[in-house]
Formats: sequence, structure tokens, C-alpha cells
Amino acid sequence: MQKVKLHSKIQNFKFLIVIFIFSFLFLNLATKATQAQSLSLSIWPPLLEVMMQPGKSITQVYKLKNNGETDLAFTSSIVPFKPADELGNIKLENSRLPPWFSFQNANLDLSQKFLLKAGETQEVVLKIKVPEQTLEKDYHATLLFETIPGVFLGQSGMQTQAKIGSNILLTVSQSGQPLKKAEIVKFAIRNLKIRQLPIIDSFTKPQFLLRIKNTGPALFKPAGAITASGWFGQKYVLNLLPENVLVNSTRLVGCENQIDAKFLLGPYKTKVEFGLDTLETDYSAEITFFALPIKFILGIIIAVVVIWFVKAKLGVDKRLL
Amino acid sequence: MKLKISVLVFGFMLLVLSLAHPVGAVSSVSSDNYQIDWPNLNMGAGLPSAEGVYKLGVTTGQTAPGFYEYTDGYRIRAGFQYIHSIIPFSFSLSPVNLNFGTLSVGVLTNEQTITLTVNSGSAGGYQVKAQENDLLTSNANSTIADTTCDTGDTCDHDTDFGTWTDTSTYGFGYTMTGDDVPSGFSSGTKFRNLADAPGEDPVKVMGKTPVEGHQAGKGKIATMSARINISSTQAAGTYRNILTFIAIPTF
Repeated sequence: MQKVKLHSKIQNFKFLIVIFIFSFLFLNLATKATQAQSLSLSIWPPLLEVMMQPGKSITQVYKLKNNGETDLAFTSSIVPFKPADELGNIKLENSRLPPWFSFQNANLDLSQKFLLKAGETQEVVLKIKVPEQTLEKDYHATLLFETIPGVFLGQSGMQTQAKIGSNILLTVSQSGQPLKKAEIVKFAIRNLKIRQLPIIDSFTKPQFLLRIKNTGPALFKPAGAITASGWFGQKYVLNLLPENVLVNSTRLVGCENQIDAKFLLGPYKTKVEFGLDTLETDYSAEITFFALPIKFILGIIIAVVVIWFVKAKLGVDKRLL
Repeated sequence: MKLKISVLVFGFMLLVLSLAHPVGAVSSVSSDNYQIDWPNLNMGAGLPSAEGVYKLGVTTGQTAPGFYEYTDGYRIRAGFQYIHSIIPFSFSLSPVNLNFGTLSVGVLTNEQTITLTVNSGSAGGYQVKAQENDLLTSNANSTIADTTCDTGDTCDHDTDFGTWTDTSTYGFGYTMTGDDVPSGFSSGTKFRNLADAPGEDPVKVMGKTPVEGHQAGKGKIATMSARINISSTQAAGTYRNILTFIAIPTF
């Protein structure tokens, strides 16, 4: 009798194990099916800067990864761009670049369709070959990979397509040292407190507005700093971000760091100095701003008014009593 | 009894196989006949090939970030000078398709959302732009127009942001919420049209640059809420189009 019971228990246990395994597998597969509803791509490098002589060629490896859980079909293209604004964003153009760009991969050409399986990386070797006699100037393009939408079996709705790109800044120069020229369009304080007067609150960190225009024939990066010097000998150095300023465009240039003081007081003589790609002081501009404890003074005024009002009210009440 | 043991063994093997994810090489080249786990050869001396005879799949080229200067007539810099990272620029969409199902008439609840995730990695800043290939179009070539503003709201959706709270305002539009979305959407209370290709340029739906306070390497998430409202005179049919997202780092 006991043997029968034991056998029955073992049977139940085995049955439970089988149920557990199948449940686990079902859930595992079901999760994968749900996650397959997303699309995820990555590309490296995000930016390529090249300076080369006419007649030369270079290669650069790009890595495109399908981080999603479904295989994706892609195609690629090289699209010229121009600056869209002063922040470094781009606007892709409909025009075409000369056929200097190609893939060195044995089994993949530029513009050719290819399949990238889930989780896999496609390495492409981009070759840029600039012919002899090419005009010495800058060329801007984006290497663009785009998914090819699959079949949509739903009802009314939208299929999505993703494009991911990486920008290429190409300077063609025989000497390797093209002429670089800039102009400081504006150097000012952004967060002024009292209309256009150069006054900020003592508890606020000044935000500088620096607009640099490229007036030369080749792109450059400003290399320099903003230095703010106070009355009492305080000195704050803010390094400029080495952002690319393209030909015939203006760019807002920020700083790598902020003034690391919690309280500023008095006048601050502020100077921006930079060179083009080299740490020089070829270009400079100067402003002075004043830091005053505006919020603190306002707080005191309000407190005095409230106290005066309360006292006056109490005085009236006492007289009435 | 033997059959039961077999079932158990089979189940256990399935479990083990399900749990044991293969450890794949980070990058590899493979086909049915070969696999190369180190496809990137940086010491190539010309690609071996013979026209019409064979073509060998060798990848050569610069892979590391940084600045390379040669006296050979060229300089290359891959990546941003001020970001010391080789984390790639990533972009994700979820879900892949927006399925509105059967549309109800004269309501503002025909909405579907899509989540955009960006990790700018080693990029200085980024932007995501959106564009539709055409109006939502049925097989019979009927269309659902881009939405207009509510009566009394003088906006132009093609260039501006407008309110959409009136059930008699018809068409298709979208709004954005989350990280790095244009402030004009007012936390999802204002709507816009999608730009139509090829005549209209794609419009920015998400993005930030260092000057605007962007910090490289931080994951950013935004949600697009797409809305369709149709009138009772809208022709029956299945309406579809293609929505393209373009994610590009700054320069």
C-alpha cells in the first residue's frame, strides 16, 4: 500500500516537472516574441574627420549593430549635408556627392541591400578616394544606413523605418594646412537678470553666449578658453568645447566646465581667447558683468515690508484696544 | 516507465538548451562553410583578388578612436575629440509598427504610442527627425489628411504646434513627451503634422546638443503619441503609410 502511494507521489512529481519545463519554455518563447516588436541599431564611429591631399585615399571601419531581436534588411548611402542650425545639427540634402566613396568589403557594396541578423554587427570599410585635380575645399556627408520596412499585416496604421547615420567631414588640401579664418559674431551673457544690463544674480552661474563664424575656406575647431576675473583676484577658466565650425556657418560654442563658485560678487572682467585648431590667442573678445545678490536683497526688502506691515497693523490694533 | 524517463530527459535537455545562450564572438564573419572570429585585419597589404577568379573577404582599415597623423598625405580622426569613449551611437524604436486597428469616428482616442530611445554614446549631441512617406492612404487611394488646428487656434501645424482637444478636428497628427523633445509640444498638450516626403524636410522630434546641456553617454527616452480622428464621411478602408525616423549625431 505504501509502495503504491510512493509511486503515485513520484508520478505526480514527474508530472509537475514536465509541466514546469513546458511552462518555462512557453513563457520564454512568448517573451521573445513580444520583445521582437522593437528595433534597435547602433553605429560607430559617430563622426569622421579627414583631411587629405588630392589623389590620396583612406579607409575607415564602421560598425553597424542590430541590437534588436529580429533580423533586419538594410541599405546604405552617402548623403551630403549642410548645417541646419548653430548647434551642430545637420540637414540632409537631395544633391549627390562625387563618386569618391565606396565599400572595401568583398561581399558588400555601397547602396547594396544586406541582411543583418539580430545581435550581429556588420563591419563596413568605407574607402574615400579623392581624385587628382580635385578642388581644395570641404565636403560634408553622412553615411546613412536605413532599414527596409517589412510586410505590415495590421489594420490601419503606420510602418516604421529607421535611418541611422554618421557624419563625415572631409577637407581636401594639398598643403595639409588650409587657410583658417574666423569671426566672433557675439560674446555675451545669456542669463541676464535685469533686461539687457550685464547683471546676474550672485547665486546664479553665468552662462556665456559665444557665436563664432567661419569666414575661411576650411573648417576649424576653436581651441581656447573663457577667463572670468573678479575684483578680489578670483579667476575662473572655462575651456571651450572643440566643436567643428563649418565653412560659411556660425556655431554656438559652449564650455567644457562651469564656474565652480556658489556665490559671485562684484564686477567680473571676462575674456574669451582662442586659436583655430591650435591653442593660441589669435581671436579674443571681452565683456564685463556684475554679480549682485538680487534675490537676497529682494528677500530682505520683502521681509522689511512684511515686518513693517505687521508692526503697523499691531499698532493700529493696540490703539483700538 | 521508459517513455516517462525519456520525456523527462527530453524536457530537461530542452530546458538546458533554452537556458544556455551561446557565447558569440563580438564580431565575426561567417557563412555555411567558414567562420572567422577576428575579421578586422589592420595590417593588410592590399586586398587579394583576381578579377573574375576569386574575392577574399578581408576587412582592413582604421578601427581605434583618436587622431592619426601620417606624413602620407592624410589625417583621420574618428569620434569626438572631447569624448573619450568608444560607446556607439544607438537608436531604438518600440514598437516597430503602429497598428490603430479599427478607427472610431469623431473621438480623440484613436491613439498609438511609439517609444524612441537614444544613447548618444561617444557622440557630442544628436537629433532624431521624423517624416512620413505620404498621407495615410487606403487601397482605394482615399487619404486621411494631416490634422488642422482646433477652431480658434491660429497655428499652422506644418510649422507650429497647436491644441487638439476638439472632437470635430479631424486628421492625423502627433505629439511628443519625454527627454529632449522640442518645448513646443508643451508636455504633450500641443500637436503637429508629420512632414511629407519628398516635398517637406523631416522635422526634429527629439535631440540635444552640448550647448543645450546634452551629456554624452546618457540614455534618453521620448514617446511619440500619434492620433487619428476621422469624420463619418471618411471612406471605409485600411489606411497605411511609412513613418521614417532619422537618428544622426551632431558634427
